[in-house]
Amino acid sequence: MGSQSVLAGWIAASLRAGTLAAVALIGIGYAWATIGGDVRQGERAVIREIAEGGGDSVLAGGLLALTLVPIAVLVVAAIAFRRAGERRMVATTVLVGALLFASLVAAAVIGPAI
Amino acid sequence: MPIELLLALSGLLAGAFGAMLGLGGGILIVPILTLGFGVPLTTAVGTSLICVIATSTGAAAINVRAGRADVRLGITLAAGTVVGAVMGGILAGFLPERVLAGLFAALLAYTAFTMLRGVVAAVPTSNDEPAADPTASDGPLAPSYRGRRLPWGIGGSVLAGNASGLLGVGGGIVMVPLMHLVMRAPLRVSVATSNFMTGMTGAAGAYAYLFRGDVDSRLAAPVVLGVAAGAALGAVLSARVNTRVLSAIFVLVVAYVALRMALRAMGS
Repeated sequence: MGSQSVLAGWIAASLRAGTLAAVALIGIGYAWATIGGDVRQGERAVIREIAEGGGDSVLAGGLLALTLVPIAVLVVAAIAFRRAGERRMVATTVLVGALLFASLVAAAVIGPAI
Repeated sequence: MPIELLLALSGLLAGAFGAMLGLGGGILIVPILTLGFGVPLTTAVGTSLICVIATSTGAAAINVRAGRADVRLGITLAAGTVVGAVMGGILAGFLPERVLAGLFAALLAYTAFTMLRGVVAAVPTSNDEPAADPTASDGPLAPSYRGRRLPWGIGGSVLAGNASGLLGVGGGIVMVPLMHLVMRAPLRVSVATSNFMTGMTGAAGAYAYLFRGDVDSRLAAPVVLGVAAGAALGAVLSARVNTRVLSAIFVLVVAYVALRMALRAMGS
């Protein structure tokens, strides 16, 4: 199997696994919250919703997990490029991953204030 | 009919339409939520960005595995779209709803115009296949062609990312012409690569909405589940439907929605 196939295989597998896991969490959390009769709270910051527990917590966790899939994919891609010895692509992938992670941290820290 | 079911059906429709026409679906989800369900525009945009990620990651798994998406080009240009999306997501928190509605109406009008040109004119096919590039020897994972004008590509990506974070769309309506016409990537590769990038762009914009409390998870869940199912359905149906007829219907729908959004922006 060539390096290109390995890269594509790794990325495709991480995309598929991440999406399925996140969508499953969203489905389970939504069913739990609606069938369990949890009181609907409307728009709330995701961290607050996760901390409260119950079906809505699983649902919010699923939504957050879905947004984390691209970061996971970039980590997988960086490892694949490193194994192939492509330094420039490793640097580019790490840069994009760092930008995404920084936007996650910045939103978590200052998000509620803006 | 329960509102949850209507939301899921709307997501299904948007996801199926998006997959059949190579769009993320955000261009339909935001108007459906705001004009159809009376959801505030910022909440609709945040919800749409989550849906855009679901559509992208689901379809990208297939495109990357099949070798249609150029992962190297996608990750490189994502440096621009991620920065733009973060700026757009933050900016949306400060802009009045009427301004956002006006910007969305302009984007819809541009989308309708672009698709109308595709329906009227014969779509060129000569650039569809990747051209062999013997100079592309900078690594074992290099594609068989090389994208040109990278600085233009990165600059345009920042603008596409900004539109995504601000208006809750995937940005493909900007990225596909940018990669195909400016960077000279093959059309099929441009569409698949844009789809691969959309997840990263959508995530960068979505964080601001999620942590600001602009996403109602009970509203988002049925739409996301509907979109995920619709995207899978659309991928199956795309080989059987007449894309040109579908595009013509889509142009009419988008033009009507653009008018409704413009009226909303003007306060009517």
